[in-house]
Amino acid sequence: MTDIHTHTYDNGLTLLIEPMAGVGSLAMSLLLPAGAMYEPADRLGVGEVLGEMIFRGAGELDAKAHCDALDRLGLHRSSEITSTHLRLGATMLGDQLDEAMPLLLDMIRRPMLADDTFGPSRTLAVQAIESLDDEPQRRVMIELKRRHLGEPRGRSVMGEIEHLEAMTADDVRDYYAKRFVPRGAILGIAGKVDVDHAIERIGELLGDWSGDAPTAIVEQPGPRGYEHRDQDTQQVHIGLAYDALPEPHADSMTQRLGIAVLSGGMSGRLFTQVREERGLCYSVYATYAAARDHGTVYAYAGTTAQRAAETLEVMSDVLTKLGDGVEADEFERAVVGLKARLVMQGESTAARASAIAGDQFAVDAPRTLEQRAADVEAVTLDKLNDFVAAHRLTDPTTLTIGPTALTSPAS
Amino acid sequence: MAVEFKHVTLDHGLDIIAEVNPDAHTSAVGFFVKAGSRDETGDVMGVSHFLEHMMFKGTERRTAADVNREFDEIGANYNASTSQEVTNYYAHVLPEYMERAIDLWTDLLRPTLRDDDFNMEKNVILEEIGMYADRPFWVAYEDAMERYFGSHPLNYRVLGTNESIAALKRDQMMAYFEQRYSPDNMVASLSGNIDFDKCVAQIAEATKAWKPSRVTRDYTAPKAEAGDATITRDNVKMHYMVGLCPGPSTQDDSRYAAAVLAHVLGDSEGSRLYWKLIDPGLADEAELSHYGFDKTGTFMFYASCDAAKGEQVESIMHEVLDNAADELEAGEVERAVSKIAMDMMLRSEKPAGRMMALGGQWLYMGEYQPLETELQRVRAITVDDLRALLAAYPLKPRSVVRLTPGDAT
Repeated sequence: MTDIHTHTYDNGLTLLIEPMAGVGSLAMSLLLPAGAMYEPADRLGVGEVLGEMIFRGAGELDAKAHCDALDRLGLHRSSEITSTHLRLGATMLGDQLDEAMPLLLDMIRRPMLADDTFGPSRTLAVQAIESLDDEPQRRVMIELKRRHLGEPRGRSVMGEIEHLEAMTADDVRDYYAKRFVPRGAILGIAGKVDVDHAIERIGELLGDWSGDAPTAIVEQPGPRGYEHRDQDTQQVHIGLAYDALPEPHADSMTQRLGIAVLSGGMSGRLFTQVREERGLCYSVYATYAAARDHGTVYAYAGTTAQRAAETLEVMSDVLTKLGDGVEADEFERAVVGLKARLVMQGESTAARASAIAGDQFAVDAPRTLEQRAADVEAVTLDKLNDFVAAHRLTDPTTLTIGPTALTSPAS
Repeated sequence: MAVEFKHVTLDHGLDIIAEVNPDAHTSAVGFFVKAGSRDETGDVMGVSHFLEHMMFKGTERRTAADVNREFDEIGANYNASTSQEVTNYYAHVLPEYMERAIDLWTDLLRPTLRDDDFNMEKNVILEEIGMYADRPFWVAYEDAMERYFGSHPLNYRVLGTNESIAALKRDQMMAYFEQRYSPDNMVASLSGNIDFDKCVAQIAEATKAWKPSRVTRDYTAPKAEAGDATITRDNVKMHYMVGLCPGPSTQDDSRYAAAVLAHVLGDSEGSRLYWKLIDPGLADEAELSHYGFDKTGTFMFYASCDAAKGEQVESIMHEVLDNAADELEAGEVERAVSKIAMDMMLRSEKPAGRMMALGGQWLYMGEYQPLETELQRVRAITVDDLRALLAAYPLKPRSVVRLTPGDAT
């Protein structure tokens, strides 16, 4: 049985540690309350630029010296912005904790955020948005989320070009000062680790950190409905979004199993009916994104223009008909699949560090793999069938990118 | 508990290799077939990859729906992939399902290739070609490979083209299958929590009717020539550049030095290309990698940037490659070695990662190297090794392809 240790420092930072047997690596995932939904409405993208700038000099070390020091350890590291957080992730060997943590946490506590690193960081953020035109498969899901969730949850975490162009280095420093705070921050660690030593060492590095950041937001719903974006692409890229349960809801695992019936494996209904039986596409899937206070089911398919209308029709039909019920064998496969994925997640320190930090935010506590397996087992076929009947996937927000618009199934 | 290596060659030539780790929570099995686009002829371009798809369409014992259903019944993480040289089929499962995973793959690797499945799947392949056509890097990469390898079969597109796939006949695929999918042209790789003897007995029984074909690969060396081409398209926004130059093969002992050199010059972080192109914001991507092939090899470099900066980015790229030997320092070699060693260790923590590494190693080299040996070989690399490598492979001649917006000047 796994134990996850939770330690809350006086400044509000929550540290979670899951020691893992049989691994040599150690991974960390630090969630800071600096996600895109907290960005000033006229400075969208400031978090993205900040996430870039923290890699460009920290503590006493300029960008090159800091990067070289991390590379000498061979450390994997990354930052990413989500709606709710700026996440700093890293993977190292277990015995590198003492050397690596000061370097990594300097990026949070003492980033240089120097004027001369702002320009290139902003340029990269602008280029990333521009290059989305060349990645329609990715762009369709970004625009779909915007249309479905509205402001500020649906924002593209990449920001807006006009805002980035108007931004200054002071905007970034200001955002850093307001949002890189310990209250609401969560540090997940998993792998080869001595728990007491890690609590003490991280306390030394982060104990004197202080601050709090407001997390209240004013929401504006998205326009939803159907939107087509004209683009000269080979395929029509189709995205659908439906409201679903938030993660803390008692039935969120039931919802997850329902989506696994649709898209859990190659025998899932979407793959079978859209690709295998009709040959309409190469890529088709549905996924359940469950957050602390809302959830969304997203679905995607990419297909050539002449097959696009049929693909959209079959897809939305398959999604809606989940409500008619699930067969016992489909249910069994969904259960076995989810449980196997949990065991596989248990082989990756990075996946565990990220999962326990995410759990702490979404449901106020980390969850062991054993608990998650029990959650899966607690769902019965009857419960699933009652659930899908009561929560039919209808009236999606629909977004297409490609040479021709489609007739929306909702219209 | 330490892992233990095992190897058996069955009478018909199939090699079965394994790293057994009784402490692992999962098991993995993969079949690696020495078959890829370089083993094709122009008239059947794309057949290796299309055949990989057809392997999921069933046998005398199973329909396509059975295949998908049965893999999902055991909760397998399973798939297949095709490259220029290897087609591999794998499943990562809980230990209690290993027998069923092996039963599935040993059956599926003798497919029926039913006409209606063949015709339906043709549509899926054409959609896959369409999907990649919407990815500019891929378009530039395929073009660069075609130009660099010229008349050599490594120039073939793994996916084929709309024309070659549309024209492909089921019987052509069957002929290709019968030649290439012989037991003496593949390796079964196992890892994790497994009973090796039991797996061997099961595979031997399931494959007893398989016949060796003594098929060989054409090892004519490619002629690398300098090249330079620009494709313009109205529907791309950014500027893309892909280039190739000769590098050591997968079998060459200097492959470790090649991996280190690629990290020094072109890793996504902390490399020379990073500091010259990404850090100042000139390019959003700029990397160099070593690609070892079977008895030949390349380095590939690529970048993407604003169209207006294309020329500047490319000239800096060439400058970095031209000056590779001049400025080599022990510190950058040491950092590259640390990063590669970390990658190798992390990949090896999972049975699925080990299964992949072992299978590839055996297919190309016919030998086993424990992780520790490989790590030692990487850690032993010095500046002198990189200088020797650059003397043999001076990162030229270079063949470069650009894909750029139509309105760029």
